[in-house]
Amino acid sequence: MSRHVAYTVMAPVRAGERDGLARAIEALGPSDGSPLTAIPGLHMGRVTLIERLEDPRGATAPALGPYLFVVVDADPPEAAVVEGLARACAPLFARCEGCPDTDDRRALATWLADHRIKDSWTIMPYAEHSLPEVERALALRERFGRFAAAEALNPGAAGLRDRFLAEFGAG
Amino acid sequence: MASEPARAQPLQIFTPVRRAWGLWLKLSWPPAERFSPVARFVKAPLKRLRFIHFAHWSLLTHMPPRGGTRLPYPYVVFSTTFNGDVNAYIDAFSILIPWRMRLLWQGAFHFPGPEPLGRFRRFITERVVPTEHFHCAYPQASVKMILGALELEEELGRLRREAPGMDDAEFARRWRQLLGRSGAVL
Repeated sequence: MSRHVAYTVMAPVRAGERDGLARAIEALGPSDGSPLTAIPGLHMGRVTLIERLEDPRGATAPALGPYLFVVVDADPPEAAVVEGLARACAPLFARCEGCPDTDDRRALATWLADHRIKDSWTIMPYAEHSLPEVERALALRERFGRFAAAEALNPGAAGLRDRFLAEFGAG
Repeated sequence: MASEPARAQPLQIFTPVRRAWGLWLKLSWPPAERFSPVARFVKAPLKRLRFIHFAHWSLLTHMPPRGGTRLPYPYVVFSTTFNGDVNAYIDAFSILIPWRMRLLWQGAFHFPGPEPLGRFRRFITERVVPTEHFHCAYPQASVKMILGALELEEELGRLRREAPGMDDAEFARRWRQLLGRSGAVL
């Protein structure tokens, strides 16, 4: 079983909703208080308004935008990611074409699956580690740094092993 | 800590490609993703760079992606989160893995090739779609810090397990080794 869920959604914005969607995205606020944190085990998430996809042969093609583009990288299970995504971004999805009543979570999950772009090729160097594992390792790194700095003030002092075990515990 | 600039940066581009190139990507991506020896060979240099948190490539051919109307062109969708300067990020792809860049984007309209650097950089930066909202659970941690911390955790665990059986001299030797190895991640 994969230790990582990458969920990318791209959906056409309903006619006349472009400005409202832009305001709704702005209302998500700063990163610190992001509603995306409703997604359990979220490593990273982003929301983007694509005004128009590039049309290399000019304006003959039908309008290629605007689109809502949402990407999240989170820990499994996928069902929890979808549920969190639906909760966090319901006001955004509601402005997209064909979006069902966002309170109907089953219908919304189906709509999200239809608008999901599945990854074909990925680079994820620490994807096998969950968010708690990454956070624990980073916290340990900080503790180790503080301990090493304190020991460096008194190199060669007796009892290093005991202080190490007192700080980090015996295995 | 929250007032410091975030280390992780998001970037996404959508590149129209010729239909035949879309077919090539559809055929070539699965072995490059799932067949271990090929995946390792193709991905190893990118992982060694240690500045990519996540990078996703996919092909968008229909809207909605499942069961929708066919788009006039297939689009390579590239979304990534990385550390550092965007120009340095793009240049690293050009310099270190030029042939892999060709395998991804050679069939894209207006693709100038991975070299010269300036033209490839322009090709990417002109297509970047700005991110309106971004959240990272560990905004101050670089990829190098994260991978280093995970490696350090393993090493510390090993030392904790073995320390009770060591005398002070042996422990001091192992401690110095650990400091030497972990210096780069602190």
